[in-house]
Amino acid sequence: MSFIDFNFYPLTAVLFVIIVLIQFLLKKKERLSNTVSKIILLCFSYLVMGLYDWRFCLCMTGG
Amino acid sequence: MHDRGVIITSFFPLAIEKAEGKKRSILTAAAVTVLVLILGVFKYFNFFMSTVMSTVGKTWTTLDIILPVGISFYIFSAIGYLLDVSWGMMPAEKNILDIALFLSFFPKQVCGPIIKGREFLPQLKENRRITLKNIEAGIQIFVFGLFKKLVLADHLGVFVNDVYHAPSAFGTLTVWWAVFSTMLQLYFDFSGYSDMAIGMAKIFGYDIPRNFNLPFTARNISEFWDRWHISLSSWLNIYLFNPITVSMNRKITDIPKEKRKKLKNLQMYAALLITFLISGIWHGAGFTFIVWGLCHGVWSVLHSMYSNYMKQHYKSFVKNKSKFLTVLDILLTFFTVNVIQVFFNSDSLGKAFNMLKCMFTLHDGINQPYTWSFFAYAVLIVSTLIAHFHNKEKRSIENTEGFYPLMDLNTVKGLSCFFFFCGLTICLGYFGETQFIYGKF
Repeated sequence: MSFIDFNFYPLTAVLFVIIVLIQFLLKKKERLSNTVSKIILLCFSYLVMGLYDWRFCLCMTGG
Repeated sequence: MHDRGVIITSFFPLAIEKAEGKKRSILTAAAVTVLVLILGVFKYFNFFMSTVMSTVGKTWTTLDIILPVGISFYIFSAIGYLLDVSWGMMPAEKNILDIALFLSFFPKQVCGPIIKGREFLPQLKENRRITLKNIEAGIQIFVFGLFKKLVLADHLGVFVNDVYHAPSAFGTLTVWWAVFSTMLQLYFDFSGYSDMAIGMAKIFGYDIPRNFNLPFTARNISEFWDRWHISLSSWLNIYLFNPITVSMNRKITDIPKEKRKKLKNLQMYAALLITFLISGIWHGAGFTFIVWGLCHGVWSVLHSMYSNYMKQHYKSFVKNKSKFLTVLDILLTFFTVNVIQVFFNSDSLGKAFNMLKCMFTLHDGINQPYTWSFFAYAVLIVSTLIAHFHNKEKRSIENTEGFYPLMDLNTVKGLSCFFFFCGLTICLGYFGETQFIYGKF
């Protein structure tokens, strides 16, 4: 899954909303908000990576 | 693969930072070797085994090894960070979360750019926030990239793939037109991805350095590599070319001065060849990439020899080059880069030589003046001219630099232009089955 896969966009929009919410809710706790944002970004990065590799697996096995 | 990469990149630098002298070198070498082995197994194992087996007259059944997304970019980022720590250019990062995010940050996952640890890790320490200003800039940069990819690169790809599939079916002129479209397709595809990555990172508050800077205005091969895939060129320069030349120079300290100068030049040429060879191998497991890398290496060596000679004997000529000759240099560089690109774009050496044969022999066939190529060239020329006239104080070709023409989206004019551009991308875009070319590396 990458920029030209259109499933990418709704997922990224959800990520965006989550991070905006975190930054808004933890406005006064900057360090915590930064750490939580980074954790979510990392999880999303692994999700994107996993989905990309999984799709590639399907292509290889003809699925 | 990624978790192993993160573990190596997290714990080795901590040990490297504490170690000194020989122990430090051994630890660095061990970490780099493990990372290179990971890349080797995933990317080159099948190629290596099939080459070895075919030389001994046996066949090799290709193993279904799934190449993890962006593995080459990932491993190069990790090696760069390890070497930075080992050379004392930055402290080792203690937070494993930061290391993991630095290596696998989603916008740059598929095709880079290769970010250096010293550029990105400090950003993770700061409290980067999503702001309206960043969203405004990021979304515009992203849409530029999307336009390059969907409207320009993918349409060119249809024509290029057709001609590369059966070059002898097309007339000589069409084959040349396809060759001149290949480099353009790669440029719009890859720089499109880079723009999207830069834009997406910007939306989330992070800065990724630019990967292209008007590469087709380069006057020679050396300048071309300063402007094309900048993150890879600078990586190769810092972590490969410089260490090779330094280690070679150490061995000739007790040689007389005059001889030493000649030897230094020879060593530089050898280092150039090695660097470009590795650049070729990095791009893909195949002889076409090795030949492509070697061609660039040989050309760089020849250019380096020529410029050394000219600087020694015709200093004033080099300094006061006319505009006509400069344009000629640009065209010559563009032409040569396009011809060498045939190896990069072909599946095998046989197909590459067949393509070259079709280019350099006159023959009849389908003649197709593909309109999208004209459109892509028009976009390229107009945007280059805009960049050239952008900064009135620096109106010379060597100072021409690319930039993002960002608009103020708070105005009706800015917003209308932006939505018009989005609409143009959707209306003209190619929405067939497609991939990023550098995604397979």
